[in-house]
Amino acid sequence: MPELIKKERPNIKLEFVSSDQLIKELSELLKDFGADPSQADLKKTRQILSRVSSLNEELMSLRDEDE
Amino acid sequence: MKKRLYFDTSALIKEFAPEVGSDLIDKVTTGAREGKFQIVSSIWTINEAISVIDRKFQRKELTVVEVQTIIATFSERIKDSNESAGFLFAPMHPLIIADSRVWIRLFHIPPIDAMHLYTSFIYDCDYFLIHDDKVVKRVKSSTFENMEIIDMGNENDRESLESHLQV
Repeated sequence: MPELIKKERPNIKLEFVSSDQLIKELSELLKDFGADPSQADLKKTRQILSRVSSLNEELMSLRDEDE
Repeated sequence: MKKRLYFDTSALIKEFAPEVGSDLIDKVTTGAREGKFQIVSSIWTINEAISVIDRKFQRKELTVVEVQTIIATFSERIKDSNESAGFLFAPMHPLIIADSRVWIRLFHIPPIDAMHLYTSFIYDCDYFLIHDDKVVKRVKSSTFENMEIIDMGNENDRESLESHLQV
């Protein structure tokens, strides 16, 4: 395993997903789930997710399957 | 130049689910919304986060309405943060995918982790935030030029980041 990983410029222009594109994708996401922006509630979301089993463990399990 | 932090999916979900390190993620995302830092992630992070929620639904841990609340919150938070230029998403460019393959072999990590790590590195992130013991174990012994790995499961790493960012 290498000790130092040095920077090398990739041969591509580094860009970000545009706000317009992201908003479009997130709108589609809401539509797919039949959700509405008015349902957004961070406090409620945290309450809901505090009673389910760990999301991080679920993610690790998902990645193990992909591996 | 603002400090730039990369959120692996394991870091991103801590904003929505109370877990180890959620307090720190809150401080970082608040700082980003205030224009103090920039958060970068791959667009793939959104897919992984949705998949995690869907799995909870499939196991009947969440109802349809709860999933809608989570997705709406997730979507609105990301939209708001992106609009304030505090949270930016890198596309999954074919060359990023191709170039990250070298890191699969180099670190013996799964392709998705190699993609996240490589994206963070080439997008000049100062910190790579992750909560994944297996990956951390494989990459922590290496030093990345101008990028520090922050193990969100490790208290010392979290304290060190808090101190560096002064949050």
